[in-house]
Amino acid sequence: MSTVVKDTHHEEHPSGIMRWITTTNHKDIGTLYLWFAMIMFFIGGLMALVIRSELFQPGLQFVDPQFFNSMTTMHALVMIFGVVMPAFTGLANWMIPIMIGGPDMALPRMNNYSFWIMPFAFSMLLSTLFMDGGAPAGGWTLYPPLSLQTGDAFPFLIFAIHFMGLSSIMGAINIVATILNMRAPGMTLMKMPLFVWTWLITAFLLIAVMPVLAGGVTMLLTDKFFGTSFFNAAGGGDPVMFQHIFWFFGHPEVYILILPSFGVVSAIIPTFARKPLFGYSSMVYATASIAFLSFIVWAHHMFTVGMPLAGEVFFMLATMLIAVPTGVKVFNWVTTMWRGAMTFETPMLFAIGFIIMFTIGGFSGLMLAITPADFQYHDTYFVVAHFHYVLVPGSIFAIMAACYFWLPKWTGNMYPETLGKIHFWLSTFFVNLTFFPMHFVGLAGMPRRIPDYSLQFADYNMIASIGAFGFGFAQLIFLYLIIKTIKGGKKATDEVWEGAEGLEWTLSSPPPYHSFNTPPVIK
Amino acid sequence: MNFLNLKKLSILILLYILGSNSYAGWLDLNMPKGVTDISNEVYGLHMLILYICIGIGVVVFGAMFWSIWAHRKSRGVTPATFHESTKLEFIWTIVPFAILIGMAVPATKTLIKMYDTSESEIHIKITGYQWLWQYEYLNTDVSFYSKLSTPYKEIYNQKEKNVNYLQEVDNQLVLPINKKIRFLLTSNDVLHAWWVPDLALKKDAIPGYINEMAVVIKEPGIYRGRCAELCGRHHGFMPIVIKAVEQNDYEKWLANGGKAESTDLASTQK
Amino acid sequence: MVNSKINKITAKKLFFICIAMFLFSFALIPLYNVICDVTGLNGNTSNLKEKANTFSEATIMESNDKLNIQFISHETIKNKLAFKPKEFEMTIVPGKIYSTMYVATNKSDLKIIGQAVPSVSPNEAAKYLKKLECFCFEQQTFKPGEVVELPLYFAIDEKMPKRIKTVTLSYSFFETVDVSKK
Repeated sequence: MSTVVKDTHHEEHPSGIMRWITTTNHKDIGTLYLWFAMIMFFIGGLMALVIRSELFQPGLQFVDPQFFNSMTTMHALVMIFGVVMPAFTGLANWMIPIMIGGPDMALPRMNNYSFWIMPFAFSMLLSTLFMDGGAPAGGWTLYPPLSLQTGDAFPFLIFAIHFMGLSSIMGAINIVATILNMRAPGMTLMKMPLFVWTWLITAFLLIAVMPVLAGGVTMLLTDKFFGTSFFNAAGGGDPVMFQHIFWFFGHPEVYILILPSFGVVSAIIPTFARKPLFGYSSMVYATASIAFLSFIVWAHHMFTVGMPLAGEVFFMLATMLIAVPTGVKVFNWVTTMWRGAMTFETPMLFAIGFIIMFTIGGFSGLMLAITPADFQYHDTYFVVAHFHYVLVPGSIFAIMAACYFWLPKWTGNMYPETLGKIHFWLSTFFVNLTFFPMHFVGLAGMPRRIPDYSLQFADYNMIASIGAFGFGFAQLIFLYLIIKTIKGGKKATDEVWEGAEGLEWTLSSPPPYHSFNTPPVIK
Repeated sequence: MNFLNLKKLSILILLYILGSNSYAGWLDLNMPKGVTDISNEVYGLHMLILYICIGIGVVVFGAMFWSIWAHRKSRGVTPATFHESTKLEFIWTIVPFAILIGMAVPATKTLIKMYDTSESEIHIKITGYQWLWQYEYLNTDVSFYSKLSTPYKEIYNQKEKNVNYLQEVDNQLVLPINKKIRFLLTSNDVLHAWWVPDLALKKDAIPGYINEMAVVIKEPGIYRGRCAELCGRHHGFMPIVIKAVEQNDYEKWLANGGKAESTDLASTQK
Repeated sequence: MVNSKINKITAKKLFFICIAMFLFSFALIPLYNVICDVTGLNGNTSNLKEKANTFSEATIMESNDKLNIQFISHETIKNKLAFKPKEFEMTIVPGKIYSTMYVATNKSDLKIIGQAVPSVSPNEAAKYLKKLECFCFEQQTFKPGEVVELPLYFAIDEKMPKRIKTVTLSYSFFETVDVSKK
């Protein structure tokens, strides 16, 4: 993952810590992003374990309900903004310039800034844990009026979100500029790997919706401190208005969290099936239509706020429509595997795990789209199960698949295959043990975000808690495996995988500090 | 071989889950059917979409597992090279689309029924507070607060938890059966959501605004629900308990100012 | 190599989209209010005075299009102020002007300044409920111990769909909070 020190171009760059602080190299910055995500993954994971410990049995055992709410809120913010988004940005930084045959990112200086804003933003966010009145506890969705009851932490929360947003916007601008301007001659848009395509679309989503979130939270800030009443009924505002703004950001945001994983899986499946990706262009169009549809479905997160009938029906239909392009993607992956010659190294296992479990999450998503049934599912553990299925064995598995897939390229060393497989099987087993029972408790009537529950939910919560701890500890294997691979191991060939296609495999493993100073020839 | 062992293990755990559950049975794993016509329809929709998903899942995962089994390099297959088929792409765009339309029609029908609050005979205003509910029987003098009655000792594990732990209240919402009841929801402070699974009712309570929903309860009984929208520290501790009674019992209760008259009403569990 | 100028231009364009989207988030507020006025999305009635000439004074009821209108209230400062409708329900005919009263009693020994916020259910009915004179148009001040009758003149537009048979008008009374004191 790190230490690409063999510089073939003899360029001056500082060593030690200053190298990382001042770096403008896309590989260094990619590495920084990935390590940042890794650290945050364990911090967010610890918060999840606090939640699961409290829910292990009925009754209040470990934490105060207010702190419990802080944990659910912070867990979500850390995992979304601190893990999945930076990890994908890290992958983009590492891989996009190489995949399109460019020398580096388009705006290297800005690239450095956009990373270094992140630790700053997250120190600010995490420092709220020690503040008077506690960390934000109104849910990551920040619904007013509850979020306005936050104590001293409130302005820190808002500014942390502003900085995270700024960082992602800068990262997204950089990625779009890179993809549009830095491609090697002959690398037409429709020749780009799907990972690049999905990131291009993701970056546009980021540019379009992060400012909307910024606007929304700014209004919260002025409502709290400057007497405006955007969301205050007493002054002529409407609390539901915030939900509309938030989900106008929030729904594209969930696709920001998943689209790059489609790209990762579309790179891995053909490699290990030794067969070209089925339906490349339909994959591109499906991604674009998912992105488009994401702007017109936001209110399905708020079916219970009391919208008029016509609104409910519209958002139900639009939401169901998303199943079509998503289905196309899944069918394409399965058809890519069909009549291939498959081997099952760790990246492939994670990619297949992704397809299966993401599809399960997609099914529950389809169920949630049915408005009358959603009245029963809304804000229950069924929803928790749904979005964890698409985010943990979805996004997180895709990120892990990508790490295993490209780790030999990044470090020049093969990772220990057996350990990787153990990591996969443990993760898969425990992730299902954690989240599958949540479907049942949700349907049986357990609301989300509660620190204590009535007795009929006890058994499944206990199972989920056991699963969560298992999953958490399984990730230590991942950490160990990565450190071990960076330090050494069997040398990787340039091609690494037998069926690998793409420009990244034409470079040495690890690649030179500056990848393509002379543009490669594209067939 | 790792793979097989894990499979066995997971089957064992699944058996354990199904076997040891003291509240076992399909009913506790699934959405309640409820006691209104609409809740039954909602249950039907839920099962229909679930079966559709399972059906699609069986086909897609079936194809995938067949492929994983049959198209392995270790079996010495040579990979095919096809990578496009407009016909296939067309089929798997159109077929899901058709299924979705088929699903949307009954869903919309049920939704329209849910939105019909006309000709209600009883109007009740529900107000959410941090962290209790207020019920006002409009056009009568009956109005009361309803809050959690589980003792703190049970919550803090100093006493054994009773069977209705965290789903018992001091004043139950008494409602007649077979009458159309319209609820008007609002909130005093932050957002709340009033949810009773057996009645398939869930709606947000929003300060400054009112929302409405209607229900006809078909069977007498005790129905329990919860606040479903995060509302602060005690969000998990503001349950809803409905006692559905015969019309004449309801009238007696109402005439008595919302207090149980006969002993049998008072003595029933909370 | 690639001209860094092109990159800067691209970045500038994208940055411009960001700014536009940021401004758009604020534009959503008036946009939402417009949509609500047109569709009755959130059940908020317009706080503007309607012109009376489109409606006639209520006379004897002869129309078959009778509907019920209910009045309810909510006071967020229950211990200080009682704020109740004088009558719970009226049977009315669309297109005619009616009046009713809310009664506010200041139970405290302090002055209360506040605002009544209207909401209509079902939401759809919101845009057909026209207020000709309403205490909710301006802030109210109640002296200690004072009992005030607050009049409301309203009409239901004849264009309201016939299937709506019951309309509930709710007023939530909020005390105006002086932010500087907070």
